[in-house]
Amino acid sequence: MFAVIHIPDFQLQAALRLEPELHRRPVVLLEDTPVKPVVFQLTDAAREAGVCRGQTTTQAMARCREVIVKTRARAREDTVTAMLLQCAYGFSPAIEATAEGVCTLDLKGLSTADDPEKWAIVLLDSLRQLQLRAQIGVAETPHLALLAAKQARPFLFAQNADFFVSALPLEVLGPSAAMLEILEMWGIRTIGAFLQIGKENLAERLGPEAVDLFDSASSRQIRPLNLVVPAETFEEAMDFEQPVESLEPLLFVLRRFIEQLVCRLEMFYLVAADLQLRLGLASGDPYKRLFVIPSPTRDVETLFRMLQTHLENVRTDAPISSLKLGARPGQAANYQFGLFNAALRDPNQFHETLARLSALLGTDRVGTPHLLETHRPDSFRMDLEGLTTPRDEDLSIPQTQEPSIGLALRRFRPPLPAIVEMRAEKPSLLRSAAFIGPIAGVRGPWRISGQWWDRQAWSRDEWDIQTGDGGLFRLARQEEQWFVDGIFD
Amino acid sequence: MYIELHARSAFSFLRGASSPEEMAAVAASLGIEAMGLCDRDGVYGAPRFFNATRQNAIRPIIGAEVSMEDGSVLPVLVENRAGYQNLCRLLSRAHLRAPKGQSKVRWSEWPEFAEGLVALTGDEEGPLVRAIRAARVNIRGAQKPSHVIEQLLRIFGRDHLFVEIQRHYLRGEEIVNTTLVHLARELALPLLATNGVLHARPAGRAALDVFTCIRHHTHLDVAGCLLAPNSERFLKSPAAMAALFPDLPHAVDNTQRLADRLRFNLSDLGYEFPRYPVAAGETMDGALRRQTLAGAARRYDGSISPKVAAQIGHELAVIEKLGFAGYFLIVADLVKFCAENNIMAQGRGSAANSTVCFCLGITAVDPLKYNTLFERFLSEGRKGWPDIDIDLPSGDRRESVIQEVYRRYGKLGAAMTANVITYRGRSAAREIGKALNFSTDMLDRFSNLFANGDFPHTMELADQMAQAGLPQDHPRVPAFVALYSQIYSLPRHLGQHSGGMIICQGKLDSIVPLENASMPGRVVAQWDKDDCEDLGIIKVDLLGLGMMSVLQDAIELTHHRGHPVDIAKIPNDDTATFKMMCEADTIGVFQIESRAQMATLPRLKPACFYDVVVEVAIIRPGPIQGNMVHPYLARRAGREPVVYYDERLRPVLERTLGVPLFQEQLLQIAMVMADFSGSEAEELRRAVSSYRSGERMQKVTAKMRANMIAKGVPLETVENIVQSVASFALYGFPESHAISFAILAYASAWLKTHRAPEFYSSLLNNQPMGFYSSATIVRDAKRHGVKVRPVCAARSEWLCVIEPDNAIRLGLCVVQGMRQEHARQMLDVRRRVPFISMEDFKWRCGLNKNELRTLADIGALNCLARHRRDALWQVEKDSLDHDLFAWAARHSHSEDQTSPLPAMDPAERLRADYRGTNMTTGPHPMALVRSQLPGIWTATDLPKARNGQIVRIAGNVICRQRPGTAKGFVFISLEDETGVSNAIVTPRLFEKLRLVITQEPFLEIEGPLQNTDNVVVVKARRIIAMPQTRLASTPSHDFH
Repeated sequence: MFAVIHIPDFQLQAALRLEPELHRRPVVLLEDTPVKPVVFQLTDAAREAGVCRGQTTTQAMARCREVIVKTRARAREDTVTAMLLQCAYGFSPAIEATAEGVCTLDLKGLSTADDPEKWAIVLLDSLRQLQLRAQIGVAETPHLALLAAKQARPFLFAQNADFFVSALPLEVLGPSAAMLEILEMWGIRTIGAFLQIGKENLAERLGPEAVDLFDSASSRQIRPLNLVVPAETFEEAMDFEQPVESLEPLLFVLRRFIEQLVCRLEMFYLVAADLQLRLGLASGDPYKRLFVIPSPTRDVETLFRMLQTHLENVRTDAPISSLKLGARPGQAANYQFGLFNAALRDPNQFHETLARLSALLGTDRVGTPHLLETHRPDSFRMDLEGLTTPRDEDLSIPQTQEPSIGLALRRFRPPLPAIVEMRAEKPSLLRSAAFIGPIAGVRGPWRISGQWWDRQAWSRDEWDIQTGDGGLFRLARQEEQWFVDGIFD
Repeated sequence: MYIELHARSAFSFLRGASSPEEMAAVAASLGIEAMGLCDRDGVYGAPRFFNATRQNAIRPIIGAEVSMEDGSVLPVLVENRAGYQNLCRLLSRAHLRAPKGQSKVRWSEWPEFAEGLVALTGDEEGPLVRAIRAARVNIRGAQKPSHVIEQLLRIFGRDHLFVEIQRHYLRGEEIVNTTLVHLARELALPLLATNGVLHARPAGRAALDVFTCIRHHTHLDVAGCLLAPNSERFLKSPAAMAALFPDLPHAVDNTQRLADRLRFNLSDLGYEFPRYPVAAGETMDGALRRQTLAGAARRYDGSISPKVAAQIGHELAVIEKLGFAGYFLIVADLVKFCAENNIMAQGRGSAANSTVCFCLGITAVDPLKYNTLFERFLSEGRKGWPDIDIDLPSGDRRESVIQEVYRRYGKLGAAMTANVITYRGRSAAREIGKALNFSTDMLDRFSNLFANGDFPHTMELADQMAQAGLPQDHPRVPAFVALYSQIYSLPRHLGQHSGGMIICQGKLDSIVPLENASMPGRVVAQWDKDDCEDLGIIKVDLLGLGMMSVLQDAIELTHHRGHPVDIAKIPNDDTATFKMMCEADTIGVFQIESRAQMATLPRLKPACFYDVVVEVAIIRPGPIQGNMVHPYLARRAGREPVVYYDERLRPVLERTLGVPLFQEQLLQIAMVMADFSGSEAEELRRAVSSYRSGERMQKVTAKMRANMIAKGVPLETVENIVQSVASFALYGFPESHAISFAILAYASAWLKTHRAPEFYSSLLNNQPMGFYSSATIVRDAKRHGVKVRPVCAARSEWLCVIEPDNAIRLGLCVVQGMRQEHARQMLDVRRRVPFISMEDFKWRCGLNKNELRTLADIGALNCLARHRRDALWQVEKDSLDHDLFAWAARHSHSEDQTSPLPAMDPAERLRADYRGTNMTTGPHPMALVRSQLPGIWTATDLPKARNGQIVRIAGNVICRQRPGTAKGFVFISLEDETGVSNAIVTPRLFEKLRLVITQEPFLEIEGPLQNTDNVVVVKARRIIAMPQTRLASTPSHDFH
């Protein structure tokens, strides 16, 4: 006996798993293709409003003004697949990842045969806790169980195989679009009608694919399952449709993530040993953070507070477009810490220190700097990833860059604020911590500006000046503020 | 004094951000006396720049930046005509040997073309600066700067080479400049200060950055150092430039010295129209006279009246005086070529005002019959060439005429005029959005929502973006809105005009650079037709008209079928034809088939040919904007008295009931009321014809107003007259043009009435064209009693044909996915031996599986099978091997033919028809759901409803129109099994239901019925998508 868990509209469910309230509203899911994405899956509410698969967004909006448009989220689908397998593994040791949103379970040796429905209800409940709406089919063969699962509402035990199969729509066999089109032209819509044509006729006309379909619809052979063991990684991920710019929505999602992770860990009687947070920024840069949990736990509040404390001090350069949270499973702490161990010898502890440093200094001040290719001077980003493994090429000077000649500039970090008096549109008097007095000679301005297209617009004038005592400085004016940028040696 | 000698305009296509007009205006405002325009690899913007500089009283200097084979870019300026011609020839050569947009000049070519040109060493892309920079970073194999400058010296000579120096406040540029100054000093070459202008004003930098992103297929967030480092490359005043180069004043002074040497301008092109070869001892004027008189004898059946003779004499005298005889002869020769090759040709436009053109066979209208104004076509005061446009059947026949022109004048002697594609609503928003890194999905939505977004919207741009999903407070919205107005109407790329050709006596490539068009075998000039006209280059428009093809095909069919029609002899007082027009039964008829025309026909009630002329002219933006439709119709119906602006205008406006409808009338009004001379009227004509220049129009109307006031015309009359003139600035129809079009409209209506099978089959064979889809045309044919039979493998040809019983048999050309060569091969085989069985067909036809399947699905193989699914069953089976038994099977109706599949029901057949041909010869989709639509009025019943009664209509949307002149109102045509019903939607309702209206193929519309003068229309109050979602539909023709 075999059971199949089928998650209908798998991709849609994956996309909406963390916003279950949306299932009641008209939502359409688009393929994530760059060119003319069309509606791929949709909620019942959307269907009732007249939206159909294959429509463009605008056509869907024409049918239903309130329709919510979501794009397929691969990261979330991977998470749901992992969850599905982990959950199934708790009910049978022999499971197969048959397809996206489909998991086959071998029930041999289990006591489910007595009352498969009761068994299935428990499994459905577990899945419901993970915010998954599933259908379960039980039958003699894996294939029949799959067909039953596709028809189940939410459970179906296919006992009379032939009768059950013949009334099924052809689509459940999963024919290719071209094959389905031909059969549609033929007026063949059910498996029964398809089987009636006969294998030989089908082979002559429609080739090997039709034969395979025929066999899968008529065969009662038990194929061997391709058994898998679910990975012990626990991850939740989400791509935001509109980049998130404030903390509140991020924390809202993170709390749901933690709840889900804890729920999944609980199934395996595990706890979280560390949390890996990864924020994808709209600018394309990633922000990553590892939280080592000194005392592994699955207490939602403890885990959430850890993330919240850190994130409250994080300022990112760009809005957040994606979020991924992973939990490394571990056993509950049951050992004694050593009294004299140096904490920093543990790399996990080092990351924790970094996290604390980031909280103190700001996230943009910890890591390895990487220069950005822009006209803005000193533009760089801090990358934590490079902190432990600096890359060689970052240190080399590109071949085509013009060699610097002339005097070396010693930079003030940060630049010194200054008051500058202008005469004939040139600096004539400087007051700063570096020098106070008249300016004897000037060269400049050198003028650069950029990012005029949003709120980060900037412009900067630079002057090289000589003071009365022979000192050479670089002055800069940015956003009406003067600075002494450095001194020429 | 400083002269800017190195500036790129937006005609450098994504390498400059300001129009030449803006450049000239800003230069003038800064007090710059002259300015040089160097667009990249061409003189694309030169004519506009030339015109703009004349208007702004500055002197234009022409030049170009030339892309070199080594990647450098060399700016050159034109000193004299020889230099200009050399530049054009060099650019033509480079363009014609390279794919579009990738021309590269070889260094070895320069010596041949350097005469008359002055070279600058260029900016950061110039060969010298590149060499200096390469030397600083020790790039191996790079040329030394001294070698580069010596090479330039060898090519251009000491007097024609300037070391260009620029300052943009960039750190590091002084190192390069110091080297440039040293080199110039060492070789005793003059320095020349320029600003390498890329935008007229500092704000133009934003548009330039966006263009850079578009060019590099990237967006602003990641473009980094590709973007401009600052906004300094704008036009600077002489004082600012002097302040930039206090240490090099001679570099600034040299600009003036050089500019003084560059005296060439575009009025000195040296263009000459080709001479027509005449017999020894005969002049071109003599030849024209001879041919005209011979033609007159044919046209007037040998009896030339004194009036005709006088008119011909007058016209020939004017033509002779203006030296245009060769032009007329060449055009007449081209028309003769068409006649000899059985290609229908008809002159349109103002040429139809000329009796000479009529006699030469160029036009089909006898101007004396309609008293049209010859001066509208040609007058002694006229500058430039007259305009003769020839309508030809579209497709291969027109292409053969174009190729004949190339054959006669050579690839370098003739070219298509360019069509400058500019940034318009949707394209501008899309490209800016991409550069600003907006999501593709949002941009797609914007494009879908505001397709063809050029008509005045009822919504602000920011609101439009909000509808597409961009919040109004998005930080980039202000940049988007500012960029939109900056980029709107700037050139995007160069296309080719649909039919305008220019030809030249010498080499056309010396007049304007030529390029390859993307269409094989075509050469295109860098200027558009207005530029060519402005510069006095003669243009012949060889326009393709689908209706000409239809008429020619239909007439040929009438000949083959034994009841020939001569289009010149169709009676122009045919009652049945006018009746059909009055009933607005004009689907498929040229010009008068649109929704607006159909709404006017029952009111105008055409009763004679001239009414058709008025009908053609009246539904144009010009008359509509001038509020002239209603007065004319009201006067015609006797609801309004016929009054004139002034009694003096009675002779001019009498035939149009006091309402000016034609351009000629406006010219006459100007002559009568404002005492305009012939040349002033000509200026008015050019202003009216040139939609590009509002300013030109303002000038001429101001003159009119002043003249009329001076003459004592009452102020109110003056304003009325000026308003009616101004409204023609967009698209006024010349009367002669309306007459030419009315001939085609009348002829097509006559054929529809009296030769319906020939008309409809020709119409179907020339799709896509006109307003309606094939499906609508087929249904219209059926409504007129013409049987239309489906595609049949045993009877259909490639094109639709007429069977002996007058039924139209659809051709294989209507089958989706059917390749013509496959179909022709099948037809050849069938002609030799007809198919006797399905096996036989499959074996010999040569069609692929998909084509066979489609034929079976649409019932085209029913001749070889019991029903469609039988055929589908059989085509899927691979053909038998080539053996004896297979031969037997192919020649017998084996039992295997029958299939276990059930026959299709009517709904399935309908869907199959639409799937395979986008139409059906069977029942309309609405007929199948009619029983589910209680309370819905059919199109034929609708006129029976009371005026004001609330009705519901439903059907397949066949046309959505949102004319620019309709103030945001939308017209929708719904087709059901009985005909077409129309609805009008208010702008408010349209905005509310924009997506439903634009996206849904079937609509149900409810609202009060309006029935005036037999024009029945539903004023939509409620619009919903029809729930019968599986109905088969044809795509609508949308103009919104």
